[in-house]
Amino acid sequence: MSGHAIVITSGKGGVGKTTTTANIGLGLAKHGRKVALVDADIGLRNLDIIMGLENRIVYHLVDVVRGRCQLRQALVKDKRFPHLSMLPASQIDQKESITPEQMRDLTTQLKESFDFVLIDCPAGIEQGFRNAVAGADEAIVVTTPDVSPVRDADRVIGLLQQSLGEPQLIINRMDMDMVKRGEMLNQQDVLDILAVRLLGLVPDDEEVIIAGNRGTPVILNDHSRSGKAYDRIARRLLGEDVPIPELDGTGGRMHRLGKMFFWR
Amino acid sequence: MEIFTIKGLKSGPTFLFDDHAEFPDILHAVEEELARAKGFFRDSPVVLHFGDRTLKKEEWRELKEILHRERLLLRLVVAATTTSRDLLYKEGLTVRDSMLLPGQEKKAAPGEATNNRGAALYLRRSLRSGQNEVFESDVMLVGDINQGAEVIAGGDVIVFGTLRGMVHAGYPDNREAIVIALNLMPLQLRIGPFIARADEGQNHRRVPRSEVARVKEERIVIELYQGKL
Repeated sequence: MSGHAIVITSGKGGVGKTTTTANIGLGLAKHGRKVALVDADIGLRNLDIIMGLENRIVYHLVDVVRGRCQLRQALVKDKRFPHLSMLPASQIDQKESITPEQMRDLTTQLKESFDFVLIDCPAGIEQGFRNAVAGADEAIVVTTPDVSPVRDADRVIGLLQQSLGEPQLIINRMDMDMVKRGEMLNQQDVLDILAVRLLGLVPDDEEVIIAGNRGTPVILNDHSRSGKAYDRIARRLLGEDVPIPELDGTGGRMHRLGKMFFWR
Repeated sequence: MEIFTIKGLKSGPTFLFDDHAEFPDILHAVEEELARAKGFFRDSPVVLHFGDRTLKKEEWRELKEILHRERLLLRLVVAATTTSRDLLYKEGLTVRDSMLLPGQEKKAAPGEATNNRGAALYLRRSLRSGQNEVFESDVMLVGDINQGAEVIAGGDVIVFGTLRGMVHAGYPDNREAIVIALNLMPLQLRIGPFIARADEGQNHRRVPRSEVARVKEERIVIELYQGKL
């Protein structure tokens, strides 16, 4: 039985790739799956902080690739879920320290013991991106509903379509009040441009920042709106048919029906 | 003709495959040639020309594997048979049924707007940010051209979709060229030697509107397109 490797990418930095990786990973683990999180952002590691595991790191990804340790020695077990592990990035090496082939081998190895391998991709479209994508079976693209991240997401989707196929999209940090006031692109504007399947919408939520600083991702907080959104995303990845509430509100549906009649 | 040759054409390095050669021989020849090139083609967009060959899925997969390993980018694939074209379409590639090869090329005179302009480039996909198409004559695209994408055409550009990116029609100096889009909202538009810029703050349109852009009295004019020029 081989697991499934998903790369989480965006093109632009700072849109929430690492937060998304951590939360989806915990979400899948909460639902009983064996999950490995891989921090592919060599030289700028962050996933360990968001996960609150920074003090447990002994070896890292580059150590494994260089044969300085066994893969299982480098995997850091999560303090909440024993079947969730993280493979940290090296903070002192560079993206060029590993090759796409080595990354592919590593991912294949991880897929043997885990149901899901989530790869946190660095920003950009250079070597780090190519490494992170190399071993993945599919991709999730994260964007915020702002003009410049959307353009970068578009670029990345174009690149992914040439190798991995069509990615799914998460729109992060939606501010419904700003959307209502017409000050922010709404989800439909973003989908019109990017034309890929929407995996989920995550509302803007200051809890995410607090959670990141504490090393307790927001999905562990039962009262957080963004945490619930991440849980729905995890369930969708498990094949459950979970509606996207912001899209299926009565207002939205009526509006769409109205449009259809108009076209007739 | 050899079973596999690389030609440097205007459209980029073009890989020509002999129609009748056995596919394993072709794969072998490609590998050898690319090994000899020592990464010369890495990250550069190339054209694959399959001619009349009917490509099988397995064959394509093996070839793709080699091209990926060498990190080649596919700009365009030319295949004359419908079976091959269907297969390559589904891979999300830009596919054409023919391409002028050296010796067959004919120059279109500038200003020769309505007839004798040779085949148009037909694309049934969207161009995303960072993707571009350059073609010596008309371009017809069914899909969107997103911000950050670029089309440069010697003739007209027709977009069955939303045009948000940069289009240069009538490149370099054909003022007769036009641009039509079901939803024309580029930040910048060029026809021949003219450049038009979008009004700032006006690029947020809720209801799509088909428009045509052309040169009138030494400037680019945009008008509602109602099925008639």
